[in-house]
Amino acid sequence: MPRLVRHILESLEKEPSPRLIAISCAAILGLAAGDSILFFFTRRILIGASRDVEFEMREDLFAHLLRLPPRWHRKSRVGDVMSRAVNDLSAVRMMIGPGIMQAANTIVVGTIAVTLMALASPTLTLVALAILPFVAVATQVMGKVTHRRFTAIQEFFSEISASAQENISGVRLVRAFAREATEERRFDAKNREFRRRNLGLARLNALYFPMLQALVGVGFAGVLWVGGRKILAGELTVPRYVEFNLYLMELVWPAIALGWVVNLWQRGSASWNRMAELWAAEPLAVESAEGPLPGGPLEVKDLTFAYDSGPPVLRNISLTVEPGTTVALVGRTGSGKSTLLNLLLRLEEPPFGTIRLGGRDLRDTPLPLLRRALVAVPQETFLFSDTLGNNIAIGRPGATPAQVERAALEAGLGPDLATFPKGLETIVGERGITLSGGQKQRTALARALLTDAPYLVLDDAFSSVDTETEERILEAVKARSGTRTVFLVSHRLSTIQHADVVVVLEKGRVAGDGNARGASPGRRPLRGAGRATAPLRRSRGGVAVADHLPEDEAQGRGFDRGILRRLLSLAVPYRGYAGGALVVLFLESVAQLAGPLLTGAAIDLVFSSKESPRKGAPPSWGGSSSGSGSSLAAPALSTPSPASTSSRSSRRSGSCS
Amino acid sequence: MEPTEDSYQSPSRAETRRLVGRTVGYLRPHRPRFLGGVGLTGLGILLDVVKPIPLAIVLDVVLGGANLPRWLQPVLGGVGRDGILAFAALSIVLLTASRGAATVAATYLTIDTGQRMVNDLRTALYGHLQKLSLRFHNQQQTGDLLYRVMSDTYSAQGLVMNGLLPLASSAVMLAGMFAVMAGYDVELALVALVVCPPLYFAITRISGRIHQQASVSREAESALYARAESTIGAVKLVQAYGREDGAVAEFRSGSDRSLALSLKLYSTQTVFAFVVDSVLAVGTAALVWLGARHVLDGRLGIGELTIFLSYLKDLYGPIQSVSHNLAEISSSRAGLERVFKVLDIEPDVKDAPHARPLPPVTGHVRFENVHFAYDDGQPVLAGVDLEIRPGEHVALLGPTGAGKSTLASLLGRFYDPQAGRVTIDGHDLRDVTVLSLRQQVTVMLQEQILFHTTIRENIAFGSPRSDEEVRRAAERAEADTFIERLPDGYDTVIGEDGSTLSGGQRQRLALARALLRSAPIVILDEPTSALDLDTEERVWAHVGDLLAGKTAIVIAHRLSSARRADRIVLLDGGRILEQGSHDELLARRGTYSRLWESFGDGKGNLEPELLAAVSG
Repeated sequence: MPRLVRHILESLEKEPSPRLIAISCAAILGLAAGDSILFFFTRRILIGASRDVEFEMREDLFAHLLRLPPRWHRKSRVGDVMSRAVNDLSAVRMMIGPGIMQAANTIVVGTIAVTLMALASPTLTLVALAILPFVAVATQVMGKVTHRRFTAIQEFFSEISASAQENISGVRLVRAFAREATEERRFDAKNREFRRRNLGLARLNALYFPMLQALVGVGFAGVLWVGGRKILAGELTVPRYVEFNLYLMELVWPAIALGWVVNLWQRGSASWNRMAELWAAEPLAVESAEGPLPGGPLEVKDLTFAYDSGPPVLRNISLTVEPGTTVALVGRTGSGKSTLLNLLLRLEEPPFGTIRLGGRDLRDTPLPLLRRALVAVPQETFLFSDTLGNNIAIGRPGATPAQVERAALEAGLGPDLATFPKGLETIVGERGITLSGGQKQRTALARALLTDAPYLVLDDAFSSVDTETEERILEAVKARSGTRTVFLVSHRLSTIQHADVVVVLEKGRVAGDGNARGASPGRRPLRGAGRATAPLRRSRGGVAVADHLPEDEAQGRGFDRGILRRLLSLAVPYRGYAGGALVVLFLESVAQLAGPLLTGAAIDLVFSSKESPRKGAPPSWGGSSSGSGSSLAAPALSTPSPASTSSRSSRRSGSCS
Repeated sequence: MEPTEDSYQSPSRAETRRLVGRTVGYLRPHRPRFLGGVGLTGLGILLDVVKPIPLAIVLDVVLGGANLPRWLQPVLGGVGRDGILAFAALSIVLLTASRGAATVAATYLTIDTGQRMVNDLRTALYGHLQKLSLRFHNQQQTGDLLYRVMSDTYSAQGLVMNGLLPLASSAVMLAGMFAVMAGYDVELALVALVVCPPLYFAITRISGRIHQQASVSREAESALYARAESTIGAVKLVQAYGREDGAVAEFRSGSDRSLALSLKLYSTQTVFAFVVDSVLAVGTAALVWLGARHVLDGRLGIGELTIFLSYLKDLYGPIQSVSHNLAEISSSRAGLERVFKVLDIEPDVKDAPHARPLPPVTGHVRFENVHFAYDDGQPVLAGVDLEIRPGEHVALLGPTGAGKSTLASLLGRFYDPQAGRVTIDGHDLRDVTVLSLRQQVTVMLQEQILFHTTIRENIAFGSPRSDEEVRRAAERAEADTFIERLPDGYDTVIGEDGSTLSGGQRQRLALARALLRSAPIVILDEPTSALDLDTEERVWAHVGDLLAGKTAIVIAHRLSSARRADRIVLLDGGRILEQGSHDELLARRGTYSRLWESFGDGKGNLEPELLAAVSG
């Protein structure tokens, strides 16, 4: 094609005419329009696809996070997790969207331009490409440093975001202790540090890109030097030289874009590694929610448990609870009551063979079934910023308003509902802040009562409820329970009085059990075991320590193949688009390359046709005319010289900045 | 609030001006840097303009054999072709390198400026959040505020670097270019400006829509972020109710909505960019066509046309970059608006202009006919009169929702009463500075807030107390024993919600934190509700010592803890029902004595006996 254009040029210059100028102008217009249209589609397809991928990844990540075991969540900070899910994800999107688009563009334009150059003049091509090794080394170094610094920056951002999150959600405490000024100072200090790190990376990029430009400049100078001498020696014609120079200019952009791509790619992969740490955590297995709800007696046998590497919290616990019983767990704070309940709920994993529900090991009971069968009211109440009714209906999304209301009434919320402006439709603040402590607890209770689960766990659920209200609620719960098995943790006698059986825990052991009312001698629903006589088992071997999560190993690992595969699998649905995008990219590159030639042609025509220019014509050389016009005008119009490349780069970068 | 497109009002031009003005206000402290960046950018453009000259010299002089331009005569007068060629090659390298250097400095300075602005804005917003009252925070979601602090503040950089900077340089270029070009060929210069009216038209027509879509899309993102933040924060609850799938489905629908909005925005943006590109292409073609004719007519030199075209590129470049990034610019603007919206909220609890620091007080507290309601308008306190003498210990008792915690919050001035007043030593709380007040009032909140850091730092909470003091406070709260048993003792890092700790342990940490402060007035909101009676007994023995001589308000449900107070105040329905000492109230045979008889054994020490009974 370039030859064709050259031939046209050569023939045109013999018979120039204004008509041809008009044709050239029309061609410029047409090419610009074509370029715009192609650009439109490239952008629409690739940016759109990368957004799709980003959103899909985010949804997957969210689902993954919700399935991670409590053990994992205990160690993580919400602000940090959020920062990875948002901030790092967007760096990854930049890698797969603009990054890939740019890389493809670079490769296509680069290949075509180099081929054309080689056809025009192999020697000059070698001269021009002599800078390549330097570009490669510089890019390699920059890539490595970028990766390292960007990882550090993202980590720091996470840190800031996590501390801001804790500050905002702990705002009441910050107020109560008058620590606002200190908090603000600390935040400012962290931000300064963050800025410093960011600027470190900016400095690197600010050095790299001009260096690349300087290298390109050296290339140009080399071509000019060698080319000029060749022309002088008569080994090269001026038109060929001009043609070559045009192609070389087309290469400036890909060379710079390459650095940009490497930059995006390194940032993306640094962020990807941080996200991979989330992915690497083992989620709870997805189990079938089908099948009958577990029922029957609950047996705990020789249960010993410790959190992570801490000392055992529970030691040799054994007990059996018959259905329909109300069991009170009492004991000092820290005696292991809440831990025992967490194990029953499998919020922590009990060791195999220690807890059986209806004859089936708890670890073999599918979690969804277990969660439906065993419902807990935890010590701390969490309310979503939603209506009171929706907060109650969490455990049973399909519940009718009447059912929700009945649960609310049973939980003793009746008098409160009357004072709320919109009753159950009242929006409660994020942490239900405008509700009093007792109201929050009763909302949590209503949530549990709505589920109709056969096992109900009340973990100190009345600590902020006054005794009279508590009395009424417990009566209501018992009246409706029927065969419901209820576990109560409480420090109040008034609560414990409602239990059929009392289990006393002391320092992680069952210290005693008995009937709170000292009545019903014929019934022994609970058999305690493992009292003081049980052997002490402090050894780590006897302690249930759940397997270590592989998150630590995931850290610092390089670019994981499995993860790359996962990334690619996300792109699979869009491979049609990707193919189309490549074709479009190719066409766009061709348009890009043809533009300067036609512009040059127009100017050549003007130049060679006028016989009496106002300022005196530069002499023409050999058979063809006018290199000067085209080589000067071409960069001015559509060839990217550094200034226009920067505008191009920002245009391509889409939402990067 | 769900963002809807209907609810969004496209901002008026005055608002835009105000927003830009305000953003520039954040730019002002960093003016030297910013102007340096702009200057260097200009220098870079200048160098770009000069850059083709060596090539032209080679083509014209070395190859074409023309004479050297006059300005080069003194320098290269006697130099041969090879020399000129070498000179040209060298100057290309030098020009590119200095162009590069200018870019380094310009890029660095502009990024630096942007980062500084973001930093200032973020800290300002964060500081403002510290000043806004709990009334505000009650209405907000942590995630939404977090999004504003962490993401929206970035918009300052985006707006300046992607929007203002290219637009400003474009405007400068426009003026300069017109001046230079008019010198050569007025007609052509005017033609170059032909693109302006259609561009203006396109921008005003489409940018409003883009801005609206960008705002809605940003709101949707923020809402999604808030949703995710609160769900992940409550993951225990979600898992306990087996609601993972439901939560994911909700997230997905929010995410789909956000995606649709964002794609819509980018489609509009692309259409806009297409229009702008087309206008610019027409402009370029018109200039080439007319310029060529002028050259044919001999009115213009070929070199001059080249200069025109080269300037045109420099002019159109920034316009193009703005039009291609308009979605981001609009989104930045929407983000900034979100930041300013919060910054514009006046704290409703703030120091009065005449506020003075509260002098050291003896702790004489008075509530005078205090009325209070939260935002829902339901009265929580309806005319409370209460006087607490210095050193007196008062227990607040009452059913849930009676207004006990609210009454205590008023004393810490978390809220201001709607009617009546609260005084300490005769100073109305509204006349003293909030900081000086809270330094003299210690509040232990009902909910135990712990931070992701060591036990020591959780107790010290930023105050420069020695390890020994921290340990003593922990001992008094009966927390020392269990802390020592933790793997790293006081250096154990606890999770955000302290979830490896039991409720009672968390409560004792919070108590230790409160006990570490030595303020003359202490409010303890259910300090021991999660403790067994035995531990509670021991805690109270220490706390009693510590509180001696201080004014204390203790909110409790247990009669056993209430009993210890000098005076018991029974609240119900926002009013004081009964008050007096334990014995007085028993003698009165009112609500209190009825409670005492139905739930106590007459001694208030319930559980130890129970424990003895069941374990015996």
